[in-house]
Amino acid sequence: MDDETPLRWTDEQLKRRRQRNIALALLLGGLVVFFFVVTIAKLGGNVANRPTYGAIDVIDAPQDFGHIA
Amino acid sequence: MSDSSITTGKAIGSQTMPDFGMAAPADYFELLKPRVMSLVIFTGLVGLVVAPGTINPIIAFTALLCVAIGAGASGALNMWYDADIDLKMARTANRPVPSGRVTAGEAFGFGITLSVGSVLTMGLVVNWVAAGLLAFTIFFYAVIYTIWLKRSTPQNIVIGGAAGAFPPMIGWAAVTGTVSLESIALFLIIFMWTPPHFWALALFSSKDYAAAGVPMLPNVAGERETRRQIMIYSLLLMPITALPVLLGFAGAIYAGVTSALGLGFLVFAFRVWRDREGEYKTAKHLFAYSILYLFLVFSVLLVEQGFGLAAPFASVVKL
Repeated sequence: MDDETPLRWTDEQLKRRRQRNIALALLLGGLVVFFFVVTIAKLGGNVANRPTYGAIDVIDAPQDFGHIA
Repeated sequence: MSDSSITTGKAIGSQTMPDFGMAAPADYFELLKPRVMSLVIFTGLVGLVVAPGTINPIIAFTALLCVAIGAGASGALNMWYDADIDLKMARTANRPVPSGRVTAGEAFGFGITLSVGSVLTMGLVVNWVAAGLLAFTIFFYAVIYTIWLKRSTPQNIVIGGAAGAFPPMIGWAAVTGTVSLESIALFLIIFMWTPPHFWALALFSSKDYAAAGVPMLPNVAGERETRRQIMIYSLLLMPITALPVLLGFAGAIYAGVTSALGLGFLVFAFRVWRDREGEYKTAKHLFAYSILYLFLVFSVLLVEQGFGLAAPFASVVKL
């Protein structure tokens, strides 16, 4: 084999690269779930008490649109 | 060139082998020093449970996860920097970096990424006091202990032991957002426990450390002095272990159990002190017992607080 010949990944290396990729995918998926759960935990009861401005239940409320006209 | 071709390699016999890409996920996990991590998680949990106040279980879990990842990051940075001496010691020669399964650069990047990730997550999710303590712990272990003290002084593990003593303080800070006398007492127990624990190991591993050029106490001051220092630190450990009772956050069960455990510790330390040079059976016994000791001391605190059994010591003995 001369120095110019590009080397190939061995089967063992390809197998380990695949294992690393799977581990990384699981880790990233886990982090997404983890940060979602933590966000909900941090918000706590405030999830239910969020501001309702613009929500469907306040559309019928009297509003002043004079500044638009 | 396809994505599965590489252009560098090193000659091994008649074959040219690639010099990277051999790490399996398990090798990265090994970089985290999982056995050390388990003790860190446990002492951090005790700090969380013993601290006054309440904490959302998910936030508590996050705090412990950050402590675990931060400790693992310290381990990875330690293995990155110490690969040269790890290679010379039988106990550590098969670690991922010296064995070549993970490159030094990969270990460094892994350690830094986990350090930043764990500290930021701790700060954003738990609180910034706990995050600051975690950052300092990682810095202390990776820079103060690994890079500076370990190769320069036989007092390396006395001062460096602080890094392993911070987790209960971090757990406490996760709940209270503060550092208090009680959490410092938990810190001191591990801090004072570290020298007899590691010097017992150093006694029967002194040849390894000498070969690697690490100035452990037996190599620098001799076995006799090391055995004497083990006895002194063991004696100092006893009143320190009683601090939770004196500060009022541990009760009669803790006082009774830790007194018995302490007596056992002194017996093992005494046997090491009186043992002849070149005899390491007693040192091995002390090393094993010291792990059990710390685990049980913190377990009693956990059980007392977790199950509401912390009757004040004074009320039990009618002081």
